[in-house]
Amino acid sequence: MERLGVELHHISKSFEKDGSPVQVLDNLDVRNEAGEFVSFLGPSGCGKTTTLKIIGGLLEPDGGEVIIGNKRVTGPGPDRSIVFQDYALLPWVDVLRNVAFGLELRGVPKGEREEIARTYIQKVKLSGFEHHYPNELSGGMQQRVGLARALAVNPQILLMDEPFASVDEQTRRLFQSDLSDLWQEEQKTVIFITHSMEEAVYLSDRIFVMSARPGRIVEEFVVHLPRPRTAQDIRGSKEFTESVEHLWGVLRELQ
Amino acid sequence: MRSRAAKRQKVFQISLRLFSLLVFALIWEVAGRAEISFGLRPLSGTLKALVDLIGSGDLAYAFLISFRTLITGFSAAAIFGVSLGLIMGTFRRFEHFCNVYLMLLLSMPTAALIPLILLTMGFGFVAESLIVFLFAVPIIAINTHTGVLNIEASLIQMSRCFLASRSQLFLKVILPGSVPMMMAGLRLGLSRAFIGMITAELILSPLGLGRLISISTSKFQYERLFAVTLSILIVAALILDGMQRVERRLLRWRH
Ligand SMILES: Nc1ncnc2c1ncn2[C@@H]1O[C@H](COP(=O)(O)OP(=O)(O)OP(=O)(O)O)[C@@H](O)[C@H]1O
Ligand SMILES: [Mg+2]
Repeated sequence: MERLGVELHHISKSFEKDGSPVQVLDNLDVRNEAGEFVSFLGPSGCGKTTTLKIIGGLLEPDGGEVIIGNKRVTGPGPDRSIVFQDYALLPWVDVLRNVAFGLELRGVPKGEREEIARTYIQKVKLSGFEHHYPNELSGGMQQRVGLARALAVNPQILLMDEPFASVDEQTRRLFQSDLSDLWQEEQKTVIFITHSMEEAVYLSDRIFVMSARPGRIVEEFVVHLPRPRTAQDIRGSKEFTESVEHLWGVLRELQ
Repeated sequence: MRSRAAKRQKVFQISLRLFSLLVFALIWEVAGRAEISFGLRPLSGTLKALVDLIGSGDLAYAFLISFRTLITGFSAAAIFGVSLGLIMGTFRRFEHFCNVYLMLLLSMPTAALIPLILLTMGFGFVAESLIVFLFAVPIIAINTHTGVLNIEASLIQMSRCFLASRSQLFLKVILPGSVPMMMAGLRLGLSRAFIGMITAELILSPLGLGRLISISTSKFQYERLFAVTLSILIVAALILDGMQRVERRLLRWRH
């Protein structure tokens, strides 16, 4: 599969609030190499989701442009899929159809798309829940449905908005290592949003720390941990703890 | 999988409902025998008149005539109202254009339109069906419209992210997403259609249930009057209950 990088050139964005514009993103300049795993870390409301939606082509920036594989982004495309922070599941269809939804929209025949969906349902450890409706699932389970749906369309670029925020700590660690393995296998380009410094360090090649109001990049941090990373030896390493400490220092400054 | 406790709860609810009906029947009977007012006839006499009405075929004939009007007017209102609501929800300009009329039609006493319709269309099936239509249509359209507006923006963004075409967005998200409000609108629309039907017939019709009521009244056959009213009540309740069952079926995902 062709690998694609993502470039953000001078992205700015404001929203209207009570008739006056509030600047949310200010001159964001980020380059994500093809096959690279980058994370965005920053306080709540600093514009992480907004950035991700701009990359996904769901929002238009007021200034600047997003370039993917030499082409300017003008809208959503088959090269990208998003794991949404608020899950965004269709409440009236079951897990199987939710996971297969992206494939359904692309006209993949029913038998084929359900087979693919079942594989990913298994990957996110929801086997047996194929015919449950979203309101019968816990928040963490719903989040995994959204994750499976995004993976099922097999995009080159995965945009993940706090995909493990609602899952419990054990599952989160399992998913982190699964995602790390998946990335190792397929070398997808991943843009990952998280509040967890440990998670960012464990998964990423590079971490961008954002400040709030207006959101801008205050620090670009390169993670020098070797790959492939297995959870046990990485988390205990000196490099790991020092990286987390460093990020904590940067974030504390922002408060 | 209904548990035994749930079953017992259900039996209890039904018994309570039957008991409530029994109390009502008893009060009716006693009040009727005590001759509180000249017009109020006891339940027993009413039931006898009901049996007579059924036996003579008068009631069945009246129901046939009335239901032809009801079904015609309501079906037209359902098709038109749902379509209008969907179109209003999809095209904003249309919404402002139509809302005024719907709100007027919903809030004014619709019966006031009857003389106007009489004047322009004369008596008959068409005029009566039109009245039923006018009673039912605004609530159906308004509810469907609200249903479309209530669909979460995140679901629409998600569909765009997974590359839904305009028609897919409509068929797979907007239409199923507005079903709950739409069904509620149809149920309310049907109760209003009943009111419209009886009102129109009381004034207009040489046949039908409304006519049966007015004839019975003018001939001082109060048992018959009560019997007709009671039969309408029972039939209306049964139909609305049937609709609620269909609705629950369709909206299984909410429970
Ligand atoms: N559609 C919108 N209209 C108006 N303001 C918005 C809109 N979307 C986001 N905002 C504002 O933009 C800012 C950034 O929002 P965003 O959702 O990108 O934050 P975030 O970094 O993802 O936060 P969190 O970590 O809590 O998810 C917030 O202050 C929010 O109120
Ligand atoms: Mg967010």
